[in-house]
Amino acid sequence: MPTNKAVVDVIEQWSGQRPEKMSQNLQDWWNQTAADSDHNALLFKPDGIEDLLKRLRQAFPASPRLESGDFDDGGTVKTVQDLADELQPAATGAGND
Amino acid sequence: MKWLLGALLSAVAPLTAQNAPVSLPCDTKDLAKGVDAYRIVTAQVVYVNCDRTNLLQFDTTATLYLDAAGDRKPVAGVVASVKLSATEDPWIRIDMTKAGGGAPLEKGKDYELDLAPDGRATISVDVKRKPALMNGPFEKLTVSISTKPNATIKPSLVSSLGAEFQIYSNIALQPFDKNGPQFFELSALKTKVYHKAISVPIRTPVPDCGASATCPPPSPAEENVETFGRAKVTLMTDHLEQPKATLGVEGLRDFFGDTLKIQNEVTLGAVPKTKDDSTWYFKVDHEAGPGSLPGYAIEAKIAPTLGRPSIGGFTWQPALNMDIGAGTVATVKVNDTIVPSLGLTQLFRTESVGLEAVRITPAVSFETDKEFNHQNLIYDQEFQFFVGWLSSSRLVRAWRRFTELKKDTKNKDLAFSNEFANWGAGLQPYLGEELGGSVVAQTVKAAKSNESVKVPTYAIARLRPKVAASTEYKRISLTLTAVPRYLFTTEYTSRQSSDGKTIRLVPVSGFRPYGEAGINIGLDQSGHVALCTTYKLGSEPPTFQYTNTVQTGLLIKY
Repeated sequence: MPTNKAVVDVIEQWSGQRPEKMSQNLQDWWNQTAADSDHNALLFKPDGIEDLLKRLRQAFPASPRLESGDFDDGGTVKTVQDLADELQPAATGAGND
Repeated sequence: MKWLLGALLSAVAPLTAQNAPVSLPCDTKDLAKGVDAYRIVTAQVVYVNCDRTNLLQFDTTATLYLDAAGDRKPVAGVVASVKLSATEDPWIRIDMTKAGGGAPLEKGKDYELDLAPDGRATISVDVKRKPALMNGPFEKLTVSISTKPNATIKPSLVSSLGAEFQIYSNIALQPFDKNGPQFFELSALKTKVYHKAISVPIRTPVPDCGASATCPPPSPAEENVETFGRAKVTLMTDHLEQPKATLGVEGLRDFFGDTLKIQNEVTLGAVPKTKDDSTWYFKVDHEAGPGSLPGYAIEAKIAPTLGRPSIGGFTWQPALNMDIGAGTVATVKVNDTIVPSLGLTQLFRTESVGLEAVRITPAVSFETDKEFNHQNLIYDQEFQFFVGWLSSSRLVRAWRRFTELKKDTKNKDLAFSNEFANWGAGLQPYLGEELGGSVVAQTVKAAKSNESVKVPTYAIARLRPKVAASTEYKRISLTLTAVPRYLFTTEYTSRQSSDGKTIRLVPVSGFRPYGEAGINIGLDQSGHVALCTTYKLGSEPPTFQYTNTVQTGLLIKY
């Protein structure tokens, strides 16, 4: 199960800087950290999202698999906290089956 | 940022005492209305989300009050200690004990917790990967919590949109049978329509240990705190398709044994659009050229990136590129190109500041024209290069300016806007190759006579370098695209006379450049809709018809 710290670690590797808040909007963070970085020429959509999805799949292979649409206006992932929430897999063997 | 200033001062002069109280590094305000503000795990344990990602230590005390604001009264005999849930985790854990035993928290009530009520706390934060101890005194922070049984239902990921939902409760859930909770949809007549569903907890639920007993503390934080109080509901036979619905779940109980009230409106409008990442472009042009009557032309590009399935990290990308004339265009030649393709695409980041990334897109495409006179099957391999120093977009410049302005405490309430930068520019190189051939020999007839010509099959081997440049000033952007294509083999096409009565076979080979220069004026702030004028010069496959024209129209781009 991905911890919040592990999710923030991935965001730091992805964007080059560590966000201070879990409520940080991901698209704003990508654009805010772009100047003089290694992603100055890459747009959040589609390039940044595609790269983030790849990193998330590698870091959390057991988590629910997100798609680029999850980061769209109608999707559920806007902030770092949203991302941490969506990456939590359902408990296995829990509940009274 | 008062706390950050405090932390920095502490790092520089840790022994320097401060008199003015500083804020605790706990920003509960941003999350107060969301689903992750706090979690009540037992009648003795509460977690509060501080929203910070850099907490290393958070030791203090708390005071518990019943009710809120002016009506609140301290809960007698309750002592509370506060600790960080885990290093660099946003959650703090508040453990409460009541003198003489019993539960500090009772069900169905509103409470407030004052953190650091005496202004004392031991706080350490990460500042540029170094721990910094914050000196007090600290301002008291009041946090509102409630043991009333309310929860929220939200949609899940787009891959399961309309079929899977998430439950968020601020109070931990009791164990439940997967077939126990009942999922319903509120109809237009306000009646409940039940759907067969199974429910599973996201984290192991917390069993009831008796209302007045001291419950065992929950397991250490090897899992995220916010997973307390969460469950996933999956519809077994139905799939909700409507854009919005009022949904609910019955039968889930919180830690206190109360049945959770879960009913709220859920937006499902993204179902048709977000299954694919829609990338599309549509342009309707009015056209004019030297000595010609006006006509119309249509350009369209549809290239959704499909999320799944993927192969070795590449995702599917079907595409349709179309540039055709319609109506009367007199003697002015227009591009006549229709190219559907099926490809795979993947971005490879180098994590360096020069060549930042390369996007590799192999595809199989079918080149034809609107008369269907060409049928070319092509293996198209494209490399798109992202070079940092060739790009300085208006958006990135605006963010850089905004970040600089925010450093001044006078601008702490400043909101971001694209207007912080007036201009931007960028240049993007591509390299492509087109290998394949014409698969069917075609007999092409002249439009206004019985004369015809046979276009034979031929091999195709082309090199397609491309440069796309743009400059933007406020809502005006200038674009330039140059494609110096080179044909290594001889291809064939047909040409009609201007009166449409004669037709001839034309071999095409060697250097066949094509270019476009355009000016777009954005009609909306986001730049999705624009008025545009484009000058096109050169020739494009499969017809290689020489184009020298100006088109003016409306561009819609998402």
